[in-house]
Amino acid sequence: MRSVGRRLGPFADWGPGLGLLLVAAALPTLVSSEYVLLGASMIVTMLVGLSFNLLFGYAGMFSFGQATFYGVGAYVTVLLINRGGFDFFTALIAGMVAAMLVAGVSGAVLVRLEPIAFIMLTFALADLFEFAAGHARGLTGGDSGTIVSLPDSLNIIVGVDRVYYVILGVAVAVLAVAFAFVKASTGLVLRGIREDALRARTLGIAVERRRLGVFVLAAAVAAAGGGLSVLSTQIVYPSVFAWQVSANALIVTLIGGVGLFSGPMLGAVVLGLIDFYVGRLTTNTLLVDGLVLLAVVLVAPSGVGATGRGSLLAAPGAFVRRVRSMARDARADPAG
Amino acid sequence: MSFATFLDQLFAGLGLGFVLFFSAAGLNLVWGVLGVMNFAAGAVYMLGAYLATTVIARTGASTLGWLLALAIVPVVAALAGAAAEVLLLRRTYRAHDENQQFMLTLALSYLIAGGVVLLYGTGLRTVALPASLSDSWNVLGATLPKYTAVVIVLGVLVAAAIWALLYGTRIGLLTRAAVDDRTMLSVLGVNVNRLYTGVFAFGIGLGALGGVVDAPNGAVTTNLETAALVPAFIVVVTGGLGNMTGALVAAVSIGVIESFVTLQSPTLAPLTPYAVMTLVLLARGASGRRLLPTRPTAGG
Repeated sequence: MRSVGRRLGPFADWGPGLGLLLVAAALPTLVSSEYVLLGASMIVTMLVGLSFNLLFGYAGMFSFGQATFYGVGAYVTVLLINRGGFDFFTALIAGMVAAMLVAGVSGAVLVRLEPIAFIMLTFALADLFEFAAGHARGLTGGDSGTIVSLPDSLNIIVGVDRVYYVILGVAVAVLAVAFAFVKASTGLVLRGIREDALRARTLGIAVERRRLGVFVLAAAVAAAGGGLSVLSTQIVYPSVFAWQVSANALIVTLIGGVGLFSGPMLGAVVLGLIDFYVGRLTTNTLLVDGLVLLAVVLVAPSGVGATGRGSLLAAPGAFVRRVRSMARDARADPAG
Repeated sequence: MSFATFLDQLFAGLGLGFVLFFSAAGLNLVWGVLGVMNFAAGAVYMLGAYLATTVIARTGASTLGWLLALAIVPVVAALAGAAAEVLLLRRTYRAHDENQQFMLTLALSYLIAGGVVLLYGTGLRTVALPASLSDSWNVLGATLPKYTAVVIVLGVLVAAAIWALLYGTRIGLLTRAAVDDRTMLSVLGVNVNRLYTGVFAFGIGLGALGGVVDAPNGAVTTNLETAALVPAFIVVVTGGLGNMTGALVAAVSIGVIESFVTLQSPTLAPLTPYAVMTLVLLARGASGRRLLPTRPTAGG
């Protein structure tokens, strides 16, 4: 099974992402503050997408619960700032550590499950946290949410550009760590496990421990997204744990390309723009998002599973192959 | 706890459990036979509840209108399910990529939820029960709402019908055979594609039936999607993926336990399904068995 990175050359794996980061760095000088805000929300979505891509794209672990860690990151950050008087960066790092702890404990069971059970139980875990956040009113303010009290230097209303650069800076640091991780031998080992877990085990690789490791790392990445989201939203609701957050992570990764390092970056930009412009016409973005997801899943021929074939870069070729295989299916005996 | 209170909670719990069984059975049947985990089950349930509000409102909350909703809505949903299976899912069986199938049903859930918002808006709706079903009986000092009794009877009938279908008919025999060896079955001249479409449509119909039956129990809102999906997933996992008997036992037990927990602490009651699932999974793990079976087994 060849990865899209191989087919398109190594540059295609990280090149588009680097290009987007350069545009992102110049964004406040190029567009109005409305679009800078949009850029900030794209960066947050990208981080949750990156977290999903680390699991699914590199390790073949289909998590439908990255909202758990996104939400833990957001809530811990807000609570430490509001209740503990910590500064933002300390609180953010504590939020990431908290998410890693949650991932370490829950992952000890989760990473051993069959794929479908892994999907269902990561999903159920996020739902459990949403329930807890909605009911622990004394701590979280329940469904009315918690407003974060930030100093003026981090208030997005006072200075959009400054806060945007804080978000971008943290995101670049997270991207750098994730990039080093997947390009080092750890990333290769994970891909080996993804392709054939039994063979990897036979070769003496501790499959469960490796899976747990990437699960914990992905949790920290999602938590960074959650903690940063606090800067642009300034309020946290229990809906940070909603499955739509996990679904968005999946959709942006699919759009950009599963297992492609630039995938979630491309996808976050495309989905962000679609939702932004559709959102101007109607509040009902569900139909559009559903159609986008349907289109991407159908374009990827024999499953988007970790081959990067859902990628925008690979889309034209994939579309031609898809049409050809549909024509073939129409001729062949359907009961195969 | 007095005996009357005990009966009260038991009735409520059975009512809850059988509502849970409808959607869990649909989910489980589709998983067991087709190997597809249908994320759209929650959206189908929500759609069922919304369609029921329309049918019942049009017929002026009469007994006939309620029966009509019970008969029509699942059939409409099943037909739509059949169309979705033929157009979208059928092409995925050969590659058998569980993740891709899951994503297709996720896309369907978006489309259904978007359609519901388009048709009904995001406000809440309620269903008025017909007068014939809205009062209650006195059983040994306890109150048994007529509607709860109807739900329990309906649940038992549906469970019996599923068993009769799976174990008493040729279609059921072929369905169970398809779980074991799909290719062999098609070599023997059985139209497996049609069988799969039928099973998927039946599963979707069951899910919509759950929504119709549950609609009069509370407000119909867009929150129903997640509210229905999570417990259904939990029932399927607790009972054992693909295991119908397990799903029935799990649904009814979770319903009854939740009902008794509600008496002690209404706040914590929604956690019951998680707690039961965790205990069952831990017990399975402790007894040295796999946490969950790899291959689905349909039927018993």
